[in-house]
Amino acid sequence: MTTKGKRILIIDDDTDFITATRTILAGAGYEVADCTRAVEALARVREFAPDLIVLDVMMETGTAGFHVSYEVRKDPHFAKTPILMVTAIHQTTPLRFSPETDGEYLPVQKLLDKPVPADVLLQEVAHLLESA
Amino acid sequence: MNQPSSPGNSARADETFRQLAWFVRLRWLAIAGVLATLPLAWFLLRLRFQPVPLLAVTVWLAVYNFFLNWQLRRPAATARLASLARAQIILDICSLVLLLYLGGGIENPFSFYLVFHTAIAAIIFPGLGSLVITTLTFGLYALMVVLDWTGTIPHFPLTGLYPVSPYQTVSPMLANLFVFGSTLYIVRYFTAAISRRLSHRTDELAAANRKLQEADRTRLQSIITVTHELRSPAAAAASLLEVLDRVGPEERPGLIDRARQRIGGMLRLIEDLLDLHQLDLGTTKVEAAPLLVAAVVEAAAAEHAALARERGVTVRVELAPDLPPVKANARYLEFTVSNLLSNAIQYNRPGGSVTVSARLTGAFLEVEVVDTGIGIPEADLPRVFDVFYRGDEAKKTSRLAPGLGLSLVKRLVQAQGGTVRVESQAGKGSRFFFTVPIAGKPEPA
Repeated sequence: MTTKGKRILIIDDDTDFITATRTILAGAGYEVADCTRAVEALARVREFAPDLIVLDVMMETGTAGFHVSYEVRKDPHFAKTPILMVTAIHQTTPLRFSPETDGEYLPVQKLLDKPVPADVLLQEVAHLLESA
Repeated sequence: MNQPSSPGNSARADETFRQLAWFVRLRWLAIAGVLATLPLAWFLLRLRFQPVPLLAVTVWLAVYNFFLNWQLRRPAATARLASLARAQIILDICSLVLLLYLGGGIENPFSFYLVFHTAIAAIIFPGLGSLVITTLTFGLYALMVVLDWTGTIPHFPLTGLYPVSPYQTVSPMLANLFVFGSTLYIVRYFTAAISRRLSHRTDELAAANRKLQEADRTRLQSIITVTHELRSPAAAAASLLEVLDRVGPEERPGLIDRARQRIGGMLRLIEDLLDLHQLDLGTTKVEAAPLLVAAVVEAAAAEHAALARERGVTVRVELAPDLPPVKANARYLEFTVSNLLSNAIQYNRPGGSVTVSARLTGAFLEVEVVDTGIGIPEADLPRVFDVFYRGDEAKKTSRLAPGLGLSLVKRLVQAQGGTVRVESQAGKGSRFFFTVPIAGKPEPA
């Protein structure tokens, strides 16, 4: 099963991250869309119907990304859509979570620290899409 | 259930616990003292008394000392500390009065040891408690003397110490009672006064310690925030540079420029942080010179013209031409005006306005920056000048500003001898005021 041509939505309020992430993913053949506001995220998910979501933690508020992930999970159409969460706060706050130990608490498949190296991002995205 | 207790209370409970444990050790010493004194008085001083009742009281002392020690070691002793302290003092006083009575009554010079109990009571209960205990002590002693003297209770004589028993004549007995009583009350007064002062000081230190711990936590929190604020642009710049070889040559300059801007922003943040910390440390020497506020405001307005156009905000500078020059640091004043102006434009709405004006108030010039923007909720007002504090509305408007500007403004204005304040209403706009001393009069040497 090929992962190329799959749709990926990047939700991040930092346009530079969107530029960089979009470049990497589009270069690998994915169809990429973005959203810079957490409040519009759910509507954008429904409209674009992504196969995978790359989601930032800190947007309008320090934990906006968490709320987006809960909202997305509540929608039956996207309850199983893989979410790759990226954050710059993982190592600088007491937020210590991993999908292995806190999977029930945080409905995301993977958490990566920014900046995510291109090869790691592509590998994780491919892996999540394959196992979805 | 455990009572919730403040750190001051728990520090005092710890102190009471230590005192009680110390009194248990002292009581063992006192028991050893009685046991040593009895044969010494009998054989060496050849005094005559009835040793069996005295030994019986000593055994009783040892029994309740074991009991008190056991009570103190039990879990949750803290809740019963005050009652334990009261109980042991009253037991001690009764036991000593009993020892005195069985050892000759007023003929026994150890009566002055009751002073120790008064002092101990005053240490543990510096308030009314020790006054009650002092009165109880004196009352018991006086009662014992009077009953012993009148023969209401059987007399246990101590012979061989005084040629004539003080019971034989009234005046030495009354003198003894008067001096004894006044000694108790005076000792109680002094000891309670010192104890009160010490316990007040303990509370003050506990409060100071609490404040320091809070400050330490705030500082740690701010270090975490700084780290994050520095990490975000660094991560963004690294991400942009990482994809350089994945884009065409025409896209590269744009990415490099963005990365440069993020690193530039990071450098400005580092410079602001350095300024902030140096101002906090007080190591910065403020060099002030006569300056025209109008020139600084005009320059800042020109600098922000593009931002104001982009946001659809009108900037008005309304400064009277005859305003005197101020005594200020050029860089500080520029930063202050520029920051207030930039906030007023950014946290505004399309079609809104920003007005900068100034007026003389005494030896100061007060500059006012008024906007018709989003305003600041009342709950946020006391904290707008705090380091890294950003209101929720401000976060929604511009996420990338880390919230250092106003805290730096406050320090810069204060470093020049001025003050800064804010008036605002959520949804209606804000007015920021700051003062700078006017130049002119040479400073007295």
